[in-house]
Amino acid sequence: MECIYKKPATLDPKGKSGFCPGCTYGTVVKLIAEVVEELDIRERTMLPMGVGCAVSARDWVDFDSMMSLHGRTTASGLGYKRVHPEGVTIILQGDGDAVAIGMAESVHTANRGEPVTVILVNNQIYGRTGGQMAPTTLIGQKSTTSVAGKRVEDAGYPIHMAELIATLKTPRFVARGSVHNVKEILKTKELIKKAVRIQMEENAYSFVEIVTACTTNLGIPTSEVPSYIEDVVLKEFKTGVIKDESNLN
Amino acid sequence: MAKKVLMQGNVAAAEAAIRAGLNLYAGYPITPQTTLTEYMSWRLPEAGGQFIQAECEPAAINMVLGASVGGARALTATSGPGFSLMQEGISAMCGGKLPGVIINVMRSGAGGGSIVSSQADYNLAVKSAGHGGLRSLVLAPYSVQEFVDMVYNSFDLAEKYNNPVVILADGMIGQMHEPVIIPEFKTGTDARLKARGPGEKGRPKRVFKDTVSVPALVEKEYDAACAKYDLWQKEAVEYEDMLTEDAEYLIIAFGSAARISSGAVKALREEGVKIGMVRPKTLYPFPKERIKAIDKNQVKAVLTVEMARPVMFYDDVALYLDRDIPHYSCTRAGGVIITPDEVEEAVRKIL
Amino acid sequence: MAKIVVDSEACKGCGLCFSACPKKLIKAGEDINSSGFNYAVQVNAEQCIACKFCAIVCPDAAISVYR
Repeated sequence: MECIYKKPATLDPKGKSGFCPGCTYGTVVKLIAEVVEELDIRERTMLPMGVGCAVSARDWVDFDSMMSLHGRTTASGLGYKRVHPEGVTIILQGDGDAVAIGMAESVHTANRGEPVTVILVNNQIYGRTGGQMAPTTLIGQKSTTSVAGKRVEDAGYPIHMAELIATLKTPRFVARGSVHNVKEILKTKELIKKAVRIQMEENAYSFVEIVTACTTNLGIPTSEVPSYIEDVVLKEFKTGVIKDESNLN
Repeated sequence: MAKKVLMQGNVAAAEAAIRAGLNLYAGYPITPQTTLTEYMSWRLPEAGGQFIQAECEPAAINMVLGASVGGARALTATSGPGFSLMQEGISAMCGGKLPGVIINVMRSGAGGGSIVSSQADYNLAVKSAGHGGLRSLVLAPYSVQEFVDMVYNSFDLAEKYNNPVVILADGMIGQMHEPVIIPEFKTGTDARLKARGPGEKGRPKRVFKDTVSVPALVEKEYDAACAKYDLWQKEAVEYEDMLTEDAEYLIIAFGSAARISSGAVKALREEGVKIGMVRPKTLYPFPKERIKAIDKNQVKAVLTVEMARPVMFYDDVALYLDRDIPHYSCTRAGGVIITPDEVEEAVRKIL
Repeated sequence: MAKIVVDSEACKGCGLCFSACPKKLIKAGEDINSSGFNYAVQVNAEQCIACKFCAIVCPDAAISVYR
């Protein structure tokens, strides 16, 4: 029998995934590792990780990574890329790191067109710190800082970061995907691959927001999370390519 | 024989950094640093480096951090308010054992403060590199030439110790024009950068951490840092003695306060007062032994001159000065620049 | 002929593969790994069609597929 699918070699065989059981943040990191393997860029890849659940990737990937200060990941990531333009810098952030504390850095990195690829994992919560409200938390969603459900009067509406980035002229490619079923996982993998190729081949900025959900803090069984994403979350955050000015097909 | 050129401190320092092999500068305009950023914006790209006008100071210090992770020689410059904003980044660079240089062209006042020169960021720079209690190596120039020389050497120093170096240049030093010799371009400054390229296929991954999370391991990191600071105290202390050999009175000052006080020292010497000055060039490591060595059998009184209220530098001098020697303080603050006459008058009061 | 191999140490017993398998061949096993998870096991492997759905959805890259 022939092996037709296995763990990519770019995930450390001795490494452990630090994500919670059933958390599809792990799926995102797996897809990034598969793209790195397929594009054969292991030694060129640098993965700056935001503060939050993203750091769980550190001991699992078998390529370079760097920890960052909260919200400053795009800044330190682009600083690295500026001095290693031959490298491929894939910036992994959550909704706190990129949309709250790092909003300025996220926008200005995109606006200057720094040739990095930002992967924003939107799970609508601050997972690592125990489930506080995020700028992407849904209206009515409970969290430890919105115990009765998030209200517009207190916190405004969820921020649609992909659309916000797409309003800027400079970014070459902006998309949103999800990883809650096989079809979407395969589509999102192509989005990631295209975004990374745009960095490599066109020396341009690319952005992919990926919708997940925090199984631990939602308090619902893992098996119900995919339909929660399909029926609730994706009504707020739409998947698809929002902006594509690249020459890649 | 190298020619002297009349240059502004900020601009000369920027040129010195470029000649020291600077790969990346990230900064946000802030008075009185602005002319440094402006000069960098066109001169650094011309010299083959990366210039970024960052969106804010936290972004700037983190761009420096990222570049340093990549092995590059990286610099940022700011003033008080921006220096406050950079503390987290400087802390991370200390924790991550990253070389890098941060220039603080000091202004005055709290909050937005005043744009005029002072020495009010002494504690912020010296006592802790941001939160967590690690330390930057802190240098204080007192002339444009010294600003140039310190910046020129700071990258080697930072790489030698894998640590941030902070250059506390009083606003005056950044803004004033003096004749200066600009050193030649260094060669071979990109060893660290080259070592962090893609490398061989299959090489081990590199993981940058600014911290570890297990307390016992964090404690080990702190112990290693203590050993580093002990080493600095042994080998990296720098100061200058001015007419101290027979001095019965000593002024202790750094930066522009020392520069101004040197005028008072000269004037008083002409009147026959046996006065000298000890001028720290490194504020951290502090010249403890030099201060301790001030002999109460020779020196009748010490006057510490600084442009900050309440005093900060005075307290560090007091920590090591023999308690039997009367110790006085002479200060101005808020951007008010002390004059040689005021220093002279302060000395006369203690004669 | 087809089957899957589950890396028992990598598997966290999350169950995403249970729902993903169109033939419902995967379930939580009786044994636990060193982390304490009841790792996934495939039953009736002869019915496996090597669709790879389980491996694709696995967030831990714990499944290899053979055909």
